[in-house]
Formats: sequence, C-alpha cells, structure tokens
Amino acid sequence: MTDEAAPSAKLAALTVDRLIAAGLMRADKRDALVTKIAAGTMSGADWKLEIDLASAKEASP
Amino acid sequence: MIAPASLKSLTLTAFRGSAGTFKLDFEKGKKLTLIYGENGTGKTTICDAFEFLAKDNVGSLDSKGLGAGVRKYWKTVGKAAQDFAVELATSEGNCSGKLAGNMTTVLSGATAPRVELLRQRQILELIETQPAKRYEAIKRFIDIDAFERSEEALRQQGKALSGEHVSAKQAEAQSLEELQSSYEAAGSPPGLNAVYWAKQKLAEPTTGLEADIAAIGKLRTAFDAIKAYPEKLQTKRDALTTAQTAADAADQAQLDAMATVDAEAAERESILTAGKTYLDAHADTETCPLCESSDKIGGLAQAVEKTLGQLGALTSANAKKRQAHTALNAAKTALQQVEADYGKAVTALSAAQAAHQWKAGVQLPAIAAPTDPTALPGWLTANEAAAATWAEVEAGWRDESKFLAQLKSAIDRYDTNAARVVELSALIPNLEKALAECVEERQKFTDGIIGDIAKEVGKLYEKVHPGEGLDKIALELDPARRASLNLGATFEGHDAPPQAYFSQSHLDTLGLCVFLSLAARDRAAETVLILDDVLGSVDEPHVKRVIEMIYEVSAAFRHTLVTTHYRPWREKYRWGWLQPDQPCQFVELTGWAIDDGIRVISSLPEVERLRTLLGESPTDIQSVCSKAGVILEATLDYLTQKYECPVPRRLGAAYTLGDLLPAISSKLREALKVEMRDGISDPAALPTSTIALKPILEELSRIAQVRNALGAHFKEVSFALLDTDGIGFAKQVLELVDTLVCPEHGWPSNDKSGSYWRNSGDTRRLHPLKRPA
Repeated sequence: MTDEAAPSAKLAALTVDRLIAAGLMRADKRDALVTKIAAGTMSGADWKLEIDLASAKEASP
Repeated sequence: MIAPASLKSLTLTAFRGSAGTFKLDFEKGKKLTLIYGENGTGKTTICDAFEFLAKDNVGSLDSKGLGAGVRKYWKTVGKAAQDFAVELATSEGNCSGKLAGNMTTVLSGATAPRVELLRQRQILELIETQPAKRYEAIKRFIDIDAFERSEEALRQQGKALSGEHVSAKQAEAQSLEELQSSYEAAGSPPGLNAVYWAKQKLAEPTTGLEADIAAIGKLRTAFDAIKAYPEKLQTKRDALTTAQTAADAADQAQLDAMATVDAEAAERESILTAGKTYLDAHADTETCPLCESSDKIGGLAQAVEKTLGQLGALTSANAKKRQAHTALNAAKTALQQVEADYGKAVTALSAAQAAHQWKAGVQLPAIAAPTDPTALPGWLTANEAAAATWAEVEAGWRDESKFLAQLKSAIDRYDTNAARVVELSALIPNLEKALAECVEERQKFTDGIIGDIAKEVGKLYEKVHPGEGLDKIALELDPARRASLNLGATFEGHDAPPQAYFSQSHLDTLGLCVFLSLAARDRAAETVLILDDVLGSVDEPHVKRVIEMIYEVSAAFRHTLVTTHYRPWREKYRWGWLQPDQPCQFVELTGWAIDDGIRVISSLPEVERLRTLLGESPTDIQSVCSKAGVILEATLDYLTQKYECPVPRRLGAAYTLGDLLPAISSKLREALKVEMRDGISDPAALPTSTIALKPILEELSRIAQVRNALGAHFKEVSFALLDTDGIGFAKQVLELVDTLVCPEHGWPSNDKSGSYWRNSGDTRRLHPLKRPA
C-alpha cells in the first residue's frame, strides 16, 4: 500500500492520457506534458498552444 | 524494493522516565513488539523516544501547558542535558539523539526512523475534529496543489480568451459600423455591402495621389517664393540708392576737409602732435622747441592746436568716405544676389510645374515666370488667381488620402477581429472541454483515494464490529468548502455523523481504524507504527477483535510497537490465546522508580515458565506440579469448551482436573488427533506427523492426582511419591500442550475449514471439529 508517486504526478498522468484520447493533446508530447502539469508549471499559454497544436493535428488529414 | 533495516535495540539514558540507562532489545525476526505495563511503568517513554528521533518532538508533553520551554522536561528530572541520550540500533546502523546545552537536538548516525504514532488521547482527534483539520490529515494523499495550479492556469486562460472573444466581437462590430458609415457616405453603391465596397475602394490604384500632393506642395512653395521677389528687389534697390547718396555726401565732405589744410600738413602731423605735447607740458617756454627762436613764441601753442584740428577733420572725412563706399558696394552685391536668387526661383517654379503630370482641373500658369524681374509683377497679377486654387486642391487631395488611410485601417481592424473571432470560436470550446476533463479526472482521482481510505476504514472497522463497518463509513469532500472532509456513517438505516450516535467505544475503534488506514497508505514498509495504549476505552467484547485487527495491520509496517496496560491482553498472551500470524515479542515493564528507571521483567508464557522450572536444579517439585496443573486445567478447559463437553454445573467455583478430565469422553479421546504442520505453507500438503491425544490424556488421567498431592495441597500421601512422579506429570502436560499449541501461532481456534480446528498459522489442525455423538 506504499504510495510512491506524488498525487499530482499520478493525477497528471491520468489527465494527460484522457486529454490525448480526446484529441486535445499530442501523444508524442505526453511525458513532457505530464511533468509540466505535475510540477504546476503548465501556464495558460502552454495550454493554449498545446490544445491549438493538438486540434490542428487532429484536423489535418 | 530493498527491505528496510530491522530494529535491533532502543537505548535511553536520562530520557523522560528512563532515569538510568534502559535498553530494549528487539528480538530478531519479530516485527511486532507488544509492551505491557501498568500505568507509570515507562511505556510512553519508549514511544516518546521514537518520536524524539523521528520528529524532534515528545508528543506526550504537548497540550500540557508547559509552554515554549517544554524541551527541558524531555530529560529525566534531576538529570543534566549532557546525560540525555537516545539511540536506535538497526541492521543498517545506529541513529543517536542528544540534547545540546541550549536544548536543541543533535542527531547523528543513520537516518532517523519514519514513525506514525497514535496515543490514547489522540484517538478521537480525527473523528471529533473540524472537517478542515480532518482534511489536513489526509491531505498528503490527495495533495494535488501543483496539478491544481496547472488546472487554474487553464481555467484563467479560458476566461482570458473568452474575454478576448467578447472584445474581438465588439471590435469586429465597431469596425463594421465604421465601414458602414463610410459606405453610406459614399452613397451605398448598389450590389455591394460595406466590407466589399471598402475592399474594392482600397483595391483601386492610389499611388498618384501622394505624388499629386507632394507636387502641388512644391508648386505652391515655388510660387510663393516668386511672389516675394518684387518686394525683395525693390527693398534692395532702395537700399542701393540710399547707399549711393551717402557715398556721394562722404566724397564731398572729404573734399571740403582737404581744402582747409595745405598739402604738407599731413607730413607735419607727427611734429605738430609732439610740439603740442611739449607746449602743453611747458606752457611758460620762451623759445620754440624746434628752432629755439623766441620770435613768434606768443600764440605758437594756439597755432599748433588749430592746425592739428584741421588735420583731424580731414582724417574723419576720409574714414566716413571709406565706410560709405563699403556700404555702397554691399548694397550692389545684395541686389545682384537677389536678382540671381530670383533666377533660381523662376527655374524652380518651372521645374515644379514641368516635373509632374497634373490632373485635369488643376490651373497652371500658361507661360513661365519671366526671367526679367521687371516683368514679374505683371506675370504675378496674371497668375495669382490660378495659384490661389492650389491650396484648396491640395486640401481635397489630402482629405481623400486621409479617408483612404482610415478606410484601410477600419478594414484591417475588421479583418483582424473577424479572424480572431473565428480563431477563438474554434479554440475556446476545446479549452473548455480540456478544463472539464481536468476537473472530472481530478474529482474522480480524489474521490477514488478518499473512497479507498473510507473503504479501508470500513474494512478494519468491520473486523472489530462485524456487520457494522463495511459500506457504513463514508468520507467525502465538502463540495461547498475546499479542503474540508466530512465523516459519515449509517446508524440504524439513517445517515448521520458517527459522533452523533456512536458509543464512545465505537468512536474509539473508528478513530483507531482511520489512523491505521492512513498510516498504512503512506510508505508503511518504511514506517515504525506505534500505538500507545490505544485500547483504553474499548469495551471487553471488542478488545479481542481490535487486537487481532492490530496484529493483521501491523504486518505491513517496518515494525510495530503496541503498548498497553490492558491486563487480559497480557494474560491471553501468556496462555497462548492471542497468537498473531506473525511472530510477536512480548515485553513486560514493571514498577518504575527514580533510581532504577524503566525495568523489564520476564514475560515468558506459562508453558515456557514450566519448562524453565523443569530445567532448574534442584527441581522445585511443588512449583512444577502447581504450574503444570494450572496449564493442564487451561488445556482441558479449552478442549471441553471446543467440544461442548458436559461438566458439573456449580455456582462460582472453577472446574477442577477432577471435573474436566472425565468430561472428555472415551469416544472423543479416541477421535482427538493433531496434525503437526510446522513449516508447511501448502494447505493441501500432508502433515509432518499426526499425534493422537488419547494416550496422553489417558496417562494424564492416571497420574493427575500427583498435581493435588505435590502441587496444590499438603497431603501425607505425597510422602510416598517420588520427584520423578511430579516431573513425569509435568512432562506429560508439556507433551499435551506442545502437541496442541504452537508457540508462534497459538491454539487451534478457527473452525472455518469445516472439518477441523486450525490455529492462525495453520501449524496445528485439531480433529475432529465436533464431539462424536
């Protein structure tokens, strides 16, 4: 029952996977995004850029 | 994962109740230490020592009003700070703590142990505290502040972009309004809307307009320059005439001055000046200073002065003449310059006119400006009206240029804002969706953890209060208040906070379950779990289950120390009734004294005591038989209860061997067998051996009177008995007990197999399950 990983890191990983599945984040950036979100350093501009790029990627054929 | 270091010993010197040096050795291979002692024997001091090393604190002194200087009470009363020492020895090294003179803690050696400690007075803290404080206790498991910062950044970004979206739409509408005004001002050309019209308008070539404006500006400047020349020329001419007149006057004045002096006067000027100086200095002289004649000496000074005056007038006239002629030359030069400038101005005007392709409607001079200045006034008169229209023409062109610039700016703003509106209309829903995903996952995550904790609490609580725990205990975050945790329970089918209806004992066990659930979640394998006298208010029916629950939970921890003053626990341990699945060390503390500090006494279980008595030389037969008799009574009591054997019903008096031995019928004796399974982990594996109890019980029935004769009463018959009879009796008792009871895992008391009784480690299986009919 030992809880090794910090709760923020665990939650960030779950959330990023969910956002990737929803097409709102890029799968190839997963680890960097998890680290950034877990550290609390994901800025508004970072979110906007990532969602923008992921949406563009999703929209492109 | 590397197994954490096992505890070897704890040594306390001048620490709290440990007046001297007290050393508690932890038995190898036993992760559970049960410390029994009556109040004031030093149990809490041992717990304090762990807390001191782990947290630089002695929590038992907290909330006792000792103030900031509480550290000085950490040492034993009457002892100095330098005497104070706590040392925990582990398989990986020692961790030592001392107090410096200023009462600060100095730790050295191995890493301080990680400790979770619950004291009796803290047991209800999590239950009875405010929801916010309860949240603090579990915050470490759901501490997602960093995640929430990132989530907040997303939320704020969404809000900012939504605000920007509104602004962009307003700006788009405003730009459209501006375009509409211009469109309407242009007469609302049919077939177009404001935007298309503006774009069409701006698409028209406009390159000539700025050139027109620049050209007409130059033309106007050149014309204005020419226009100034008649006056400029006249001014110069007037100045020349004036200078000529002055020069003529100066010439005449010079001629007049020359007429007053002879030709050589100028040559004599220096002699005359010297003579005047002499005569002024020698007014009484009677001779001429030059010829030394006294003739004409009278009036000589006046004559010299007159001649010098005439020479001065001539000099002045000469200077004025020179000045007048200089001025005359300058006036001539100035006039020539203006005339030359005029020529350039004429050329500039012609160039300005000729250099541009003028739009129709611009009035221009039909002929170029005359090179002869005298003809200029006439030319100016002829063209002044045309030139006067140029300013108006230029203003019109400038207005049109400004209008186009404004129109371009408006259409640019419109395009920019319209594009932004489109971009944000696509982006904002995605941001909102991402935020919703984050919020949902976060809530699911925290609810999951809290749910797991509640489930674990319920599971533990169920062990203590079967049928009351599972699904009855609820923990939930207060949605209205952040960082607030409510505790709920079901009571008689109604949801209610447990504090409202639970008994004190139920609340205590609930508090213990909450503490153990939380402690077990956080690196239990690295943690020393300490429960300091937490059974205080648990009522008797539940104590056994609480103890079993503690035993079970403790297996997950690096080491567990349980202190208690609950005497039945000691007795049950001594009789082997409480044997956990894991090896347990039992430590008994005895009366504390300031000189001796904490003292450990032997806590050997009764069977071991009997073994010890048998090993002594000379053998104390009375003690051996007495102890063996009591153990046999306990064993027969166990068997007769398990098999519901009929015994004489008497008020008050305990059952004797005479009651218990015959109660085990011959059929039952025939059936009683014990599978010996020490060291066997496979439940389906065959036992090491199977021992029938009948021969042992038969032999005991035969020699049981030895107990009364040698171990219980003074009887003359004992004179005829040998020591070996008593020893034989004791050894037979030991054979029965060793067959039936495992030293590590106790009595076979579990009937869940359905066909036999087993002990906690499945090292003994007692057959049959029921007494044969």
